[in-house]
Amino acid sequence: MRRFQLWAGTALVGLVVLAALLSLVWTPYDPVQVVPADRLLGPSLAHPLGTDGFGIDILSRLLVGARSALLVGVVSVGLAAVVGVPLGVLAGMRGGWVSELVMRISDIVFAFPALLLAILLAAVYGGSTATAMVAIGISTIPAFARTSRAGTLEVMAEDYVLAARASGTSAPTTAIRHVLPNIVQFIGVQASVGFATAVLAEAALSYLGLGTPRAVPTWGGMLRDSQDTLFTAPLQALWPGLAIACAVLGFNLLGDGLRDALDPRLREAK
Amino acid sequence: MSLSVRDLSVAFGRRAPAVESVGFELADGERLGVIGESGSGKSVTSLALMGLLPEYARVTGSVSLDGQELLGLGDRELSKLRGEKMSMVFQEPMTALDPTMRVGRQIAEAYRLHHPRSGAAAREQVETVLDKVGFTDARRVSLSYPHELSGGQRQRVLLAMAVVNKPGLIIFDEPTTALDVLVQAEVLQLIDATLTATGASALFISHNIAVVSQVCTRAVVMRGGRIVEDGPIAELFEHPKHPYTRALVEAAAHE
Ligand SMILES: Nc1ncnc2c1ncn2[C@@H]1O[C@H](COP(=O)(O)OP(=O)(O)OP(=O)(O)O)[C@@H](O)[C@H]1O
Ligand SMILES: [Mg+2]
Repeated sequence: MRRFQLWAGTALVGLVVLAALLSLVWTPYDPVQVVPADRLLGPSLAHPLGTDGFGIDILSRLLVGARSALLVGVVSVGLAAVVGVPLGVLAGMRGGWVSELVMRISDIVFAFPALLLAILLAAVYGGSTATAMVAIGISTIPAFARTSRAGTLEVMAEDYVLAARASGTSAPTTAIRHVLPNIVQFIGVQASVGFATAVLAEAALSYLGLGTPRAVPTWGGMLRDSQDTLFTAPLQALWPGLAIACAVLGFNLLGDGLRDALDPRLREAK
Repeated sequence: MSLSVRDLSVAFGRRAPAVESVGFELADGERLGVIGESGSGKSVTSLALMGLLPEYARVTGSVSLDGQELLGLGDRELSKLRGEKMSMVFQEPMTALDPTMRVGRQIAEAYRLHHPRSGAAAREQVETVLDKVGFTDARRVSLSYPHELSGGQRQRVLLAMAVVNKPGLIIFDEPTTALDVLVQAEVLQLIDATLTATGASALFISHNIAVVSQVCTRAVVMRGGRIVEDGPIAELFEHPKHPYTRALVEAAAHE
């Protein structure tokens, strides 16, 4: 079962990555060129997934959409980790009021809806992929801060931290040399879950027109465009929906699989 | 190095103090045993000396190492002293080594902290010090991860890590409690030999008076955070003044 999660997750995520890479060098058709004559074609040999309301090949748009899903995932999760992990480790190591402060700010950011943040950012800077990434990134910081703090507390109770300190390792060096390597599995799990959330959030923001501009292919944008012709061409909504589900499920499975594979207690038991 | 502890008290939050008015003197090269049951405050005392208690611990009194007051020093100053002037060996060899790092690297890092830019010399030091603690295959051991070593081997690695910078004071917190009897005797002998060779002063903590007597000639007896009796161990064995000491001596006789 554990193996299965890891493999299935890797396969699904691998599929998304492959699609994104492939779209860099090749797509069946131009993913942005409007072809009025080809509007709303059903699946055929020429267009395996059919065409959308603008006559654009859906498969081509889907492949290019994987790029933006991954980009948003990597950047927003990266941003959240770069800010959240040091804060969490600091809170876990220092305890006391530092920990209180970090955790209360985390709570506040966590309680603030990501969507509202995205609307605010879009209102000030205009909706773009960048504002979507920043909004998603900021709202994911608390998850990283909490996970890292919990992991750090666990590690700090271990004798090897005391032993390192007793040899003269300063607190900051201990954080880098002993705490981080021992909480990396928690961070990895959080990252894959965060990835899934980010892909979903980016789709939602694009759907609402708060993210990537309409012309650029995104899965969320494709869902939004499919709305106008949902009853005449329902398949149009199915494909991006499947792609999103595939990526989210993939990252979640990968996260679960990683957690089990990296947990030393489970590893020992094998 | 000489150590002078006066009126040392440690309290956590609003609870009754875990250590209260503890005081003792340790001359250069001398070894002092600290005996007491579980929860008597032995570990808290040793961590207080090292400045390694969590921030919420309230520590008062005086700890001076070769005349330098340690209480109140910041982490930066203490980090310079730890490892270099004083070090510590912990009770649980299973958990006192970082599972993500090869043991040779852990010893090398401990050395490099006080010998920056030592490069290849650090690697040499690792093998020398592993030799000294009785490994005949120092290179192989240094490339092992902690989980690949036995408890006794790990405790010897920890001893190597504690002595690699030749500190003048070493604190042993129940270094053999987690080991089986044969390995325990071996490690005790090794500790004794190492201390003799380096001339370091030592604080040797154990709940077992018989174990302490193999390394030290003088000991203090702790109970409930206080020192209830001190003197030469032979004296404690033969004429225990405090009923608690008597109980400890009887317990050791049974073990
Ligand atoms: N970090 C801490 N926070 C709060 N209380 C603590 C902390 N560390 C120790 N104590 C308390 O201090 C008392 C003394 O503990 P200590 O670890 O010094 O005992 P010990 O003599 O070393 O026992 P053992 O033989 O089991 O190691 C205990 O009552 C313990 O609950
Ligand atoms: Mg103890």
